[in-house]
Amino acid sequence: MEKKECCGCGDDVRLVLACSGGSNVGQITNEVAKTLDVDGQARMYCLAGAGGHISGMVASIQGAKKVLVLDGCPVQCGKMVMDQAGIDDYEYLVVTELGVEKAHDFRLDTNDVDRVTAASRAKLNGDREDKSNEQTANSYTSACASGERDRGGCCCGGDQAC
Amino acid sequence: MTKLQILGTGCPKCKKLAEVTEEAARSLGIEYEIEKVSDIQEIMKFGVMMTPALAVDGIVKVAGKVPSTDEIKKMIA
Repeated sequence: MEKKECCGCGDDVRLVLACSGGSNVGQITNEVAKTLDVDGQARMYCLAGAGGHISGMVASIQGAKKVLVLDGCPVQCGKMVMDQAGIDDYEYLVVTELGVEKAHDFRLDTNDVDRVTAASRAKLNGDREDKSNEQTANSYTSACASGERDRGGCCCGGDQAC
Repeated sequence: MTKLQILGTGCPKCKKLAEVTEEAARSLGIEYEIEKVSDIQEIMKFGVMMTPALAVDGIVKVAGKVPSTDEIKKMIA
């Protein structure tokens, strides 16, 4: 079997971390992060992992080309987690700053979700330069198996033969 | 004995990270053992999103890139 030449790829791993908090705005961040992942614009990753100081997660966040943190409200739990993990190079968005009022109501307004999604996409695609990595990542998860290089996967097809 | 683990499925960058890590460990003159972890499920237990990655005594120091020898020395020392 011919080995595929790859893993010099996966060079645009972008992560989105959502506070996913217990309010409408927290859950909007969760919905937006999922949408960005499904659309292939960023990979949703675990903010809780950074909060728990899981070394592999902190290192992965530090190694990503671009990171977007979504907080629901001015309590800024996501930002606090990043601060405590010693990570300061990321894009940031707070849902309430986009005019969504915080409430303990999980019947999310799709217009709000769409608006935050659009703002998040703009953050991800902004002019700000990506973090520099001399040599970057090969993401090994489902994106490899499905050949979704724009989601950080490589061309190994998930067969680990590369 | 310092335990060095290279997390990766065997791609060229994983091999490069292993080489650079060994070089760093040798130049430091430390006692070490190096393990290549290539099983996806085992890699995922470390929580890393990207490979290659280097764990020193079970703590992931870097993921998604191959640092220089000097940078790795600092991670190991």
